[in-house]
Amino acid sequence: MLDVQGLTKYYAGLPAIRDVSFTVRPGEVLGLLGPNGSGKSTTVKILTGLLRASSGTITFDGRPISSDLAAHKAILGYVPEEAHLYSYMTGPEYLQLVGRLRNIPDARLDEKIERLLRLLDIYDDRYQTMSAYSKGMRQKILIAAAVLHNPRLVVFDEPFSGLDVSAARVLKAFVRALTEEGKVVVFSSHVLEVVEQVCSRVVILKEGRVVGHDSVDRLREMMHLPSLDAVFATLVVEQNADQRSRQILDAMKA
Amino acid sequence: MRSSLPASVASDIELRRSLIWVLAFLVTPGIMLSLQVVSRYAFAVHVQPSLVDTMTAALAIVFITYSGVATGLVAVFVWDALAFDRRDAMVLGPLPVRGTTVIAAKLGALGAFLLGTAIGTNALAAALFALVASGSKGFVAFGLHAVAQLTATVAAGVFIFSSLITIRGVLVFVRGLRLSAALGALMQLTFMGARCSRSSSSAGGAENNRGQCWRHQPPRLASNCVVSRPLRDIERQTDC
Repeated sequence: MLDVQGLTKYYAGLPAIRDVSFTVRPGEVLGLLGPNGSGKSTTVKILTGLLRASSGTITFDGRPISSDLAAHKAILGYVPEEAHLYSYMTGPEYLQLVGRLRNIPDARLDEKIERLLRLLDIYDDRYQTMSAYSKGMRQKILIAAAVLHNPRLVVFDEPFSGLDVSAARVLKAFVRALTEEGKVVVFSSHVLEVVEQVCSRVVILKEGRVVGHDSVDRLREMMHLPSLDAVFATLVVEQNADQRSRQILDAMKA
Repeated sequence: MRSSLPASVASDIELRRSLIWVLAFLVTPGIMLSLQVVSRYAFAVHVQPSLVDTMTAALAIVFITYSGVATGLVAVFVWDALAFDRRDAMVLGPLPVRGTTVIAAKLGALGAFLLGTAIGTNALAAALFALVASGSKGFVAFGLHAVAQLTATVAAGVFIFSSLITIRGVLVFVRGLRLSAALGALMQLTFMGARCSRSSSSAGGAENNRGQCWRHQPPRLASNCVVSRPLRDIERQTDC
């Protein structure tokens, strides 16, 4: 179980997140929701060990991740928001690099890479360097790299970026399949429809603070609202979308 | 066609392209330079032995300067790739790899790249020079001459490379990335100028071969003078 308590992070004295707490049990998908700058990415980067929290604790199966960060990263799969890759490598070469750094035996690694490339429809492009890959193909490589070692905790940060409709459908189903395998999944996104479809519970962040934390159904019931979109709008969005769009249109015409 | 190639071929092709570029731009002038000066050195060894010491000193300056300029040029073009950047952090950060391992790997890659560049650009010149300098004294003498020249030129390359990387590192640390990036562009221009002026110096040398004395040549860039003056000394001693 992933347990986050009182997580706070300051950048140059300014708080990015304050007192963020949640738990994710095996077989659950926790959605992290929030507008730009709400602290989703900061939370994700602390969970993955890319950033250190200013205060607060994160434990996985009762052990603080800070006590042995390398051990935590060994059971973690992370799909980052931006596709930072060594683009001079081919897809299989990149996956081999990641697999070897995760100590996967070569024979098993080659077999896994081939299977994943075929399943993600990028096998035919295996000889191209990733500099020639589309955004969606790079995203598929990131997804393959994140799950290559059968992680127990998987963190997705905007994983649908650049994916076409069919790949997105496969990924949604894959996230649900992960839960059936008892994985702990954290899913950060601002695509509300996707979060509503794949997440069992959501944490809604606004200006670095948790403003809502429950299952999607409970949040809808409690707030007497028909959808997650309406819940999100009530908790987070200050501007009327129609009014704002008209103002932009006026500015455009002026 | 590509689907019939083995898995790592595509990036190998890119690597080969890079090597060809390096070969054409850095090694070829080195070979031309070697052929130009070593033939004169061979002439002195056999016909005017009294000139050998002076010419050896001049040749040392020529080859060491060439090595420094060639390695420096490579350094200013690749130093961004040798730093630990955001991409490294995002790729390696979530992996169970300790910081010391990453730093050791970067330093290892830096060392391998540096030695590869310095040896690659200087090996042929060292072999040519050793062939002439050892004369008929046998394989051991040839080996000693080659190793001595390679050691001196590689050391020069290592010194220039390390100095540039250190300056860059200090600038990034003290003044931030923007100034060091601006310096990077300036250094690329400087070393490219030095490399190109070296080519024009070779062309000038060829003209000198047809009887012009070095004192009548117009002044060139300072970096050019460092190389071309010893070259012209050699030419003057054998021609004028």
